[in-house]
Amino acid sequence: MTSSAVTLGVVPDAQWFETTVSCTAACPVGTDAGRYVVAISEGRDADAYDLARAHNPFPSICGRVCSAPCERACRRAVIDTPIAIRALKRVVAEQYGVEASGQSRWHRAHGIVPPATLPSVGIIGAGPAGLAAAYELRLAGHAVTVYERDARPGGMLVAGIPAFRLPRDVVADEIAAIIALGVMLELGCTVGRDVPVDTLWTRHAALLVTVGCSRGRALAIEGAELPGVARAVDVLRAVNVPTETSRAAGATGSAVDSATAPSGAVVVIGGGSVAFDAARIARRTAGIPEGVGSSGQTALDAARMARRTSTQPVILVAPEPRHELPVPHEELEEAEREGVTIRAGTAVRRIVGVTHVEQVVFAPVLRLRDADGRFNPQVADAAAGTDEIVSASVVILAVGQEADTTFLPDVSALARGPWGGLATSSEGRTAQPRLYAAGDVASGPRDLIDAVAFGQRVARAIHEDLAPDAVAISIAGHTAAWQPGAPDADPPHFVIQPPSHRYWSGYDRVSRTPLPVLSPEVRTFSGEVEAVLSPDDARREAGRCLRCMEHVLLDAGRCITCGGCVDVCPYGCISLVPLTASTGIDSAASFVLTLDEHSCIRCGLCVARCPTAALSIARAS
Amino acid sequence: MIDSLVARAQRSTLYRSIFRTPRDDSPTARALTAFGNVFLHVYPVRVPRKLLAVRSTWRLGSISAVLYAILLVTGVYLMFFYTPAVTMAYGDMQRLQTAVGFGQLIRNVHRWSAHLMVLAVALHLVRVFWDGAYKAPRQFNWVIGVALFVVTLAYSFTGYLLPWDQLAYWAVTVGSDLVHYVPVAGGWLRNVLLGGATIGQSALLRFYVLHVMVLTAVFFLLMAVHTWRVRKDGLSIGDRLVPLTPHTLPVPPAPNVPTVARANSARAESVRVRQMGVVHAASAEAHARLPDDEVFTSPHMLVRHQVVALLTTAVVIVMGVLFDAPLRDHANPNLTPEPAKAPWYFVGIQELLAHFDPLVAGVLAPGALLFLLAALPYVDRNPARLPSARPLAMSLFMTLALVAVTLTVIGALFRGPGWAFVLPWEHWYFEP
Repeated sequence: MTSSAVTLGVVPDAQWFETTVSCTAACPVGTDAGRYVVAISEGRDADAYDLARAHNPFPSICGRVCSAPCERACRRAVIDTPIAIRALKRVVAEQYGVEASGQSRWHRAHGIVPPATLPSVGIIGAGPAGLAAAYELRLAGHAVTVYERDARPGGMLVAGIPAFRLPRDVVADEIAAIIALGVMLELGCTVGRDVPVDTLWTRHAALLVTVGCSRGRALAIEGAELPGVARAVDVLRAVNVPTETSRAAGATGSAVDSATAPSGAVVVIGGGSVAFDAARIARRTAGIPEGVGSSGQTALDAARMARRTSTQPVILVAPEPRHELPVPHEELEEAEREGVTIRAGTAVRRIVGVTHVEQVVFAPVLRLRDADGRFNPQVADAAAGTDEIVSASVVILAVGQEADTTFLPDVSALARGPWGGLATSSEGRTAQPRLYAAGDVASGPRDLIDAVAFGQRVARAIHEDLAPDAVAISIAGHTAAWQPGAPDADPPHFVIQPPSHRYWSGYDRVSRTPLPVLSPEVRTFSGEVEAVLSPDDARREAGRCLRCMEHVLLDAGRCITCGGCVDVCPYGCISLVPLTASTGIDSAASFVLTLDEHSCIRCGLCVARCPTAALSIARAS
Repeated sequence: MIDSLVARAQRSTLYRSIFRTPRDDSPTARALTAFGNVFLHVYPVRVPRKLLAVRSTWRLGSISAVLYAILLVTGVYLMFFYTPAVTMAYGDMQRLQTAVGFGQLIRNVHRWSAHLMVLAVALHLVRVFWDGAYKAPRQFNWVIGVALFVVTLAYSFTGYLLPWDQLAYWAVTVGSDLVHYVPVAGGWLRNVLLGGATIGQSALLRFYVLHVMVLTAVFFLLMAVHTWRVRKDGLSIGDRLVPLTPHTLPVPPAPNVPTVARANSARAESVRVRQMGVVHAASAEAHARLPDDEVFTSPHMLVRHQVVALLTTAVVIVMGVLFDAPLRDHANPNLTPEPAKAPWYFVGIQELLAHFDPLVAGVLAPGALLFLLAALPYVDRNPARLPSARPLAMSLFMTLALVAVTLTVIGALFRGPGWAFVLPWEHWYFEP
């Protein structure tokens, strides 16, 4: 019964230890999430901010809207639910990020900005990928110009994500901090229309395309072309970028009419963040915004508040089962609290209507993936009689996005991904020398933090290509600025607390702190729904961390094989496995002490039990 | 309401100053229940899952310990009303049974618990033999166990005299006569034991002191070592959980493999088990520990032991209610009852005396048996544990056990006046 379960485990090296720090391993930019959580738990919030900032120029933005792959990977789920890592990042961002203008430590992370002596780089699109690349390239000594078609930089940060999730002043401040490093920004400049690409080639040694995936994808079902069907990105854009509404409305055709359409549900098709944002916007407008026109955000809010009394239902339809929806569960919960009905595990068979959307036919999804594990939903047969007809006036498609790269003159010569973007290497190099792409346009629609990571990678590649002799970019926080010298500039230090004090606190029994949110009745377009954790809550939440970055280490020479550590371990993760003579190691009197890193909660009981101090908890190196 | 009061009490400074560990249920709290409690720390934090089955040990050791605890408590109560003097002892017994609250019941429970304990300890010994649990590394704990068996017999034997009735007097006379047959020092030994040539005031006092003090001290000492060795040598049932598949050390990753690929392969091993190091056994007692096969002592083992304790207590109380301990006439050295039988656990020797020379039957045979029993783990070098894999040891031991049981049954039930053969359904000459 046991022999199959017994393993001698891997012989770890430093790299292996790194992979066991799940949050950091899961973060595309490699944020030391666990370490800043530990710092918060120890009351060192400033250190925590420095750590969160080190790998990421957008900690304030990520603290609010990051999809938090770290939380999905968080090992705390072994016990109950992951640490609220994203919310904790916001706690320190509020104190030391760009929001805290006087207190901001944002600039501490990058040190001295060199003069722009290296070849110039043009970046098309001021979204997260473009700005992250601009930041790294500028710090490496390049002249950088960012071209943005909108009147405001930020890309999807401002055109996609609703203001009630991400306040615009936070975006503006964090971008302003990058611009202030000496990055040139040309707003309202559509490349290909306002300035030809050829002109850019005369100005810059390299061009980086980071235009994202701004077009909503169509859905190949019956009735998808009916008036009243809109794309989620256009809806979000219409709400978020008022001055651009005319173009968005033009793209969606009759979307604007829908507000006057007969009552019926608003059906949002899709299960990602865009779908949830669109659904929550729809709850706030009771439909698709009409004639947003020139009215400002404030006026709009007032108008929408008045309309929010509407009982028009909003239904979000996604093929994934509820627990597989690719959004953080806060987004899901808040959407539901705002009155969005979530129909997980459901597909739309067709949209019915004569001159306008009238009904939507739902069909249950039997299986999400095919035998090979690929995403390929199997919908129940229409003859099964399981279909459901819902009266609807508006359908919003959030089934994916496509890139628009037609502004590039010789784009046809470049390989394109299935999302219509540019095919690149993982570093963002395209088939054309000196032409780079990063972010969604190169990877297909991904999360904000993926775009930032891609921007960092492409910056490294561009720097390498343009200035092969210069010092390579080290994304690991530009920690040169923290070199000893100024007493204020000590690197964050990490004190390992005696483990005997640790298990007193009952840290393994504290449940996740619910995030403070506005009551649904008073939510508006721009009022931030989620509030910041109180300092006490933050420390308590951070104290739940299982500290993957610290490891139980064995001084084998001191071990007397008493088995006490195996005995006392609450999670049964330590084993004393006998070796046989076949190993060539001294006979049957030898054992291997193994530890299941996945289950260890660093309670320190093994260390407390060990009679010879052979065990310790420390940072592995 | 009560829950909230309890919860409040548990948050109080007083409560937390008394109880070191939290009371809620989590793996850590379960571990700490055993690890952080002075009484429960005799337990390991976790025990082999197989130990949860009654048939793993038949709980005979636990039953013996529970009976011993009952004997301590009831014995203290009896001491309140008993004077170890030949002029008073018998009267005290009579008063105890007639004038002391629960005196008869407590005496009954003490008596039956004593008999049951001899039985339980003997069966525990047989069970340990049967499972081969006395083999390395537990040899010495078997010796301690045999010593505890002897102490248990001594307890029972010394206690037998205290009522100072005919039954007590003559059973102890028969028993102590055996000492006389010990070569060379026999007479001296009996003098030391009895404080004289015959059983009198000195003998009563010495038996009393041995019973309530000396044997108790020895028993506590031996029990402490016995229990401690159970923990340190490891539960024998744990041995059988050691995987039979040989384990070989994985080769450390080659240094020229790119680190990223190494990390990926590590992650692919979905269970992230890491080697902490190769360690060398510091003693022969070191044994494998594989927590996959183990459960928390608290609550799994604790609950079972509580059930064992409750059932054992219930059984002796029911026996005490149903059956009174015998109290015959005042001890009379001039009136030998027929037959005069030793206590039941020595009656086999008495039977043997009817067939062999007293030196052989009364001293050499029991002495050799005891010596063999204690030396068993050192004589029996066969490492096999399964009864079927050690036919010689099994057949020898079981034959001897069978002989002992047969002699005891014959002596106790089939012997009458003049040690003549009597069928028990014709006349019953046995008193417990």
